[in-house]
Amino acid sequence: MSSPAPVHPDVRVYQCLIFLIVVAGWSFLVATEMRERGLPFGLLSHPLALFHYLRYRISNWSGDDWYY
Amino acid sequence: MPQLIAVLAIIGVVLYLYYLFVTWFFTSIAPIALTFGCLGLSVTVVVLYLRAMGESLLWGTGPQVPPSGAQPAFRQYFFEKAFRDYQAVFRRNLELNRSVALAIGRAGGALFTKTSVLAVFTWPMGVVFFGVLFLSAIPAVLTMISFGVFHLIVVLCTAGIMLLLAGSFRLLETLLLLYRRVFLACPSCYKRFGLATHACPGCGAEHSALVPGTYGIFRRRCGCGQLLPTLYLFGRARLPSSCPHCSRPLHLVLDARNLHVPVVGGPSAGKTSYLMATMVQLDRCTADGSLAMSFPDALNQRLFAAARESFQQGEVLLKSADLSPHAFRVRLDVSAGKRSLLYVYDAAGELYQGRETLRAHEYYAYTHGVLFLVDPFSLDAVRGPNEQEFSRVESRVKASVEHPQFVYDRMIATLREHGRLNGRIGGIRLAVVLTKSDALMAVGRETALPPARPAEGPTENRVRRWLRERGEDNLVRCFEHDFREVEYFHCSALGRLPDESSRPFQPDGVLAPLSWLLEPYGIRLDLPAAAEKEAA
Repeated sequence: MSSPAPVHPDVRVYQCLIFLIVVAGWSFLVATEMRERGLPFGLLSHPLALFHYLRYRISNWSGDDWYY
Repeated sequence: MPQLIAVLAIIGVVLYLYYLFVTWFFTSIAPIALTFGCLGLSVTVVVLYLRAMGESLLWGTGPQVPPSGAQPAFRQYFFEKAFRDYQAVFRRNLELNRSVALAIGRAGGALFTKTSVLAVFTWPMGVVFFGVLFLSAIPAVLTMISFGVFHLIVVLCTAGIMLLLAGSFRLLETLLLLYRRVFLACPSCYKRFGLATHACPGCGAEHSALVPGTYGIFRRRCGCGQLLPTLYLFGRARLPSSCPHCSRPLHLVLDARNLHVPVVGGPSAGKTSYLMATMVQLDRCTADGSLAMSFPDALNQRLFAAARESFQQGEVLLKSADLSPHAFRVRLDVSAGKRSLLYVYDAAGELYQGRETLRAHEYYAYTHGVLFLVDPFSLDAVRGPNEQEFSRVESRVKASVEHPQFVYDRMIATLREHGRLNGRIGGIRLAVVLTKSDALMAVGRETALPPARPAEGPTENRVRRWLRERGEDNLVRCFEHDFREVEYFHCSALGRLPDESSRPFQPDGVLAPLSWLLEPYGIRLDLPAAAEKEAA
């Protein structure tokens, strides 16, 4: 079995960067969701965390706060 | 009969107890199991996504991406591999989720098909398993999509930021070159271009657009693995380069303003001697440290060295034979910190006998000044009345057979074709240089230049008077009609008539025309008396 081709160091750095940003970003979204909705509901609704967050940001931009 | 009743009663009790068990299970256990099952599965989906990411990005390599696109290089991570990695993560995530769903389904199914007695008690749990699977399907899919969208947003945003960064650095470099007034022109085919073709020093692959972009911001990785800088600031100019039009090699100089000056004159007007005499004199000027000169092209360095040797030994230079020669490039660093890369075009005089080849000389489109050489012995008014005296020096003077008026007309027509002559030419100076001035006295007193008058202005000096007195009013009028700034000079590129002696040639008056031409561009050639005995 042939060994995998070596990965260029700069590519590895970028891959780690993407991983960290995704994990950190998602953790931030889920944390926001749980802080606003409480632990169980926040955890249950975490798939919608991105949607909720974007809706909140957009509503704040437009000046119409209909998040709550 | 009583026995039958007893059996039926027992069966009834058992069935009742079984009903109670099932009811208790579905009212007490199943909701908790379903909730935790759904929650667990939802968390599992996230964990599986992270595992898929880890397999592709952290402890795996992701898909291998070969060099692609127009350039023989790997695209920068965020512009190709990040998307391939994303696809791989998403695909792997689907695989993992599918296998988990199948495992739960299998486990749930097994609870229905256990040994016949056990199945009676385990089927409610099987229902819970399928319930979890059914109820978690929507949140699981939502989690996957949501995570996938978030991942894609991150990849797109980073690619966007990188593109913005690349554009900014590209703009910065363009502005820097504009500020330095550097533009690129091929010294061989004379065409202008925005970007040279650079070759990889490792494999020789040609990169036609080595700039910040999707292949890299500050550097790019060639297909062979070599890292190449994408900005002049980081040493791109040091890479081997070639003209994108004619593929001839270039030696880029980007920290000095380039100035283009054609030396125009008929055959044997003394253009090559004049050019080399100028270089020899400039070289002498470098002795006091006020000026530094260097040659970016090795060929020009060798030509100069040979010419300096010939001047030292009093040998006449061979005339230029090439109708479209390489520009003679010399870098001048003057004391005030001003730098320029001078492109001097010394085409064979035969070029000016026809317009077809001249048309291809595109440097007329961006020339900064014209050195127009007038061979006094190409004028009938000089040769005619002094036939006898002229015949004595004819072999040494090598007079041009082309009248300067014809040469001038063709040059002006070419300038007009290249869009540089709409009415009078502004911004370009014309230095009219009467060559072979040393030989004028040798032919006779009548042909010699008249003495300079006190307070003679730039438009009425003795060369101009000399030309008019030889019947060249029309030529002088043409000069002054077409160009806003005209100055007249005389020089002797060799300093004396060539003979069999090996006395060194001492150029005389050759720097003054060039100095006057370059003056508007901040290049002042302060002429030491030793180097320049007499300026016109």
